[in-house]
Amino acid sequence: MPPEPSRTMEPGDLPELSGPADLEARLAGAAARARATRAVGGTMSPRAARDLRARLLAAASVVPMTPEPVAPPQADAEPAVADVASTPASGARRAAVRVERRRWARDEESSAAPDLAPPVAVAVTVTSTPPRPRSRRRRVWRSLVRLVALVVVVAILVGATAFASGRLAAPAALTATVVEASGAGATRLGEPMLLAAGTALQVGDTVTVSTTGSAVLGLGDSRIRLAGGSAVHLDRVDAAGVTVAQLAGRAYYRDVSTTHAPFLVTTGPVTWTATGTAFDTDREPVATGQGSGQEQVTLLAIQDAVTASGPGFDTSVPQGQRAVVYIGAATPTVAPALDAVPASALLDPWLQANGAADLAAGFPLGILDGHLQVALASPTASPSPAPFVTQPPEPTDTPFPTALDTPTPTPTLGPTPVPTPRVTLAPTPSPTPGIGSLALTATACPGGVVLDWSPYSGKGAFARYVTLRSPANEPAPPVAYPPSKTWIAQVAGTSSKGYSSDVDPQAAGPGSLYWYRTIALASDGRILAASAARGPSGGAGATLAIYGFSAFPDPNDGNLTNFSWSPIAVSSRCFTDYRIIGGAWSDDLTGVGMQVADVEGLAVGCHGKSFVLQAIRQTSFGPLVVGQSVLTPCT
Amino acid sequence: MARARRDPSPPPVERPPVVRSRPTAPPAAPPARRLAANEVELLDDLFGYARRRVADRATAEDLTVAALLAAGCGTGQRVDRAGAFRVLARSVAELPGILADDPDGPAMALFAQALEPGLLEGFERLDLERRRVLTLHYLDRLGPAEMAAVLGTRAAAVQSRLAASLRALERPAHAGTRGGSRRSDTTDEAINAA
Repeated sequence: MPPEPSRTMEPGDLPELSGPADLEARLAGAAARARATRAVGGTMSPRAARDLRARLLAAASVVPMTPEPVAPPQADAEPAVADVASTPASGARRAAVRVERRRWARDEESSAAPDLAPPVAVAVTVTSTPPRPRSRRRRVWRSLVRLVALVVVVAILVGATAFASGRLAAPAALTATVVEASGAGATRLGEPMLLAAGTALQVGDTVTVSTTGSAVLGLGDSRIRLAGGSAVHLDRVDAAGVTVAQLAGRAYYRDVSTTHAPFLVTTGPVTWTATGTAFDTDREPVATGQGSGQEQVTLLAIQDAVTASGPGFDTSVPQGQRAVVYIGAATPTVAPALDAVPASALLDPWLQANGAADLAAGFPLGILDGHLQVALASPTASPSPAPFVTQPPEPTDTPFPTALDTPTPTPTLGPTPVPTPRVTLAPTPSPTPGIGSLALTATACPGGVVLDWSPYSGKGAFARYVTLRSPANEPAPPVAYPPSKTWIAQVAGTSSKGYSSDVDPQAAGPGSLYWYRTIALASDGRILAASAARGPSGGAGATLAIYGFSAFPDPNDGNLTNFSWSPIAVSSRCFTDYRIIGGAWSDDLTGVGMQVADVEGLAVGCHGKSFVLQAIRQTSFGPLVVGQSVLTPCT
Repeated sequence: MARARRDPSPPPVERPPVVRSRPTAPPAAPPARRLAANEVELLDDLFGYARRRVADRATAEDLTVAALLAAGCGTGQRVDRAGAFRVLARSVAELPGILADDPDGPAMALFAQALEPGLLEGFERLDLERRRVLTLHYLDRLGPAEMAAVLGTRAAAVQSRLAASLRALERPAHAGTRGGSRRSDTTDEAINAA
């Protein structure tokens, strides 16, 4: 194989340039940590990788980049991956369309230069130094010593390089926690335990949900939403893969792996491999008389495809398809029967609730796109409450959804949920015709409830937003304006279409729990869009105290000031920045995280001045001060 | 000082395109093809480079595809890594919100956040070009040819700059090394001027 003119460089590839190995290692380590940052991870998720490669191949098949005949494949261009499907995914079609348009645009601009300029006339040739011929007169022991030393050096270099790139690292543990839980428990090493939000899970745990309960499990960024009556066993949870055995009931899986890790769900002898990102699986016994101990497993491919593997079959379940397979001892398990997911199934409250959670988290809805009807569902109006609590937004790269929050949704405070773990086609709340939907979160923070809504982007003569509030012991504000009930109050409003957040300061007191709903109004008073009712939220108390704040001159420059404090502990959704105020001078410590405890060299004199440190949560109407220190003189 | 505000724009929602059926028979499915190993590596490297600079994942994917196509990926010819990175760097620099004179700013900030306090102080003392070359080499793992393509200079100049950056990092810092510390812009300017 001829050497490539250039390749990915690793620290140490430029020995004549390298500083001490320690410095190189520290830089490489920092780079590895930076690359591992979730939001900007350098490796694509399996879905993104497949999609991108399919798009690339589809685009390449549409657009010949060079008019010359295609050269025969080079020796170093042998296929190395096998996960590129021959059938382009939807993303591939999009890419093909886009690239085709680009090609047409280029054709129209026939005089335009090609996109790729000639490469820089510099090539880095990576060659290896031929070994020196060994003299036979050397003594054997010296050769052996040198050989051992060489092996050790090579091992160290390979190990260091692999460590820097993370290739030899053992699969990192994946955080497994309970995101939401109601009526859920787990069995660990035979010992039962009650689950609550934040409970850490381990491989080997069996999570069981009561028939009236629900739970949301977080495996890294992925989520498993469990309906009442379901049970799963965590077989494997690490960065190299997730395997979950679904023992009973219904579960909705959202695979958000940031690595090329497989996501497997087993139901008896059938293994479902997520080649997509969202699917729903229901495992239930066949009714008595219809089968002797058999169970029916129904999988709905919500977004992208799922592969079903079992004894003698390996079947792909494309997006929008339903797979039904029977497992049990009576008859051998055969390949699942496939058909399209019926439209009526999309109205299932379970799927609707999951779709709403995905929508709030910014995930594509797949086949639920255009069928979501729960966005306007009132927590008190739904005849069949959502099977699980709409969880806080899950980590995502999209900027807006991460800012939204559903911090304390506790539907159990509303009407008693009807124990309907096996969701049927019960009537679902229909959206008001002609009314769009807004996202809304209500975050209880010290000093008030922060309201974040999605800006209205629909048609119509937008006039203003209003946010209505009702006490937790009353029904949530309906989609109506002006409010017709005396217990409904308007707590926020603006005519600025781009504004998307505000604070309800009256909801800070103990026991001050409220429902919230934001409505976009037209100039003629019509309701253009409305959010779902959120809450009850509030009661987080007054502004917190920040302790240990001190200000002192920078020892290296008397014109600068250093500050230190004890970090505040609030929800990350209640914190935007620290701010230091000293008379007419103030500085928002942009980029300084909540856990940071000091800052050096701020451009303000210290002597004779006093300062206050604030922790603030920014909104469209200005900051909410969630924490504040006492006025502290320079020391 | 500017506030760190989140982007209020709505999230990009991928929606499948409207595919109109054609009266004629659909074209035959393309044969199964696979990316070669070097193309897969380049794909990952390009996407990582784009992802560390572009907030929007979809945009990063689009730019990556464009750069790969420009590099000749899929044509059976030798893939030009440096050319791909040059195209990608240009595309990134033209995005709104990316500073024309500091297109690697987001990546540098990411790299700086991961540095140990001692290294961070030294890193922040360096001028912009040296910080860029360190970021490109260590964070993006680019070679001299690729760095030269991104920076629009010669590989020899990049190598010299990288060596000088490492030597500068070896010099002891003059200030403290407490975690989470930062210096004001005026301080940085004074240090760089010195």
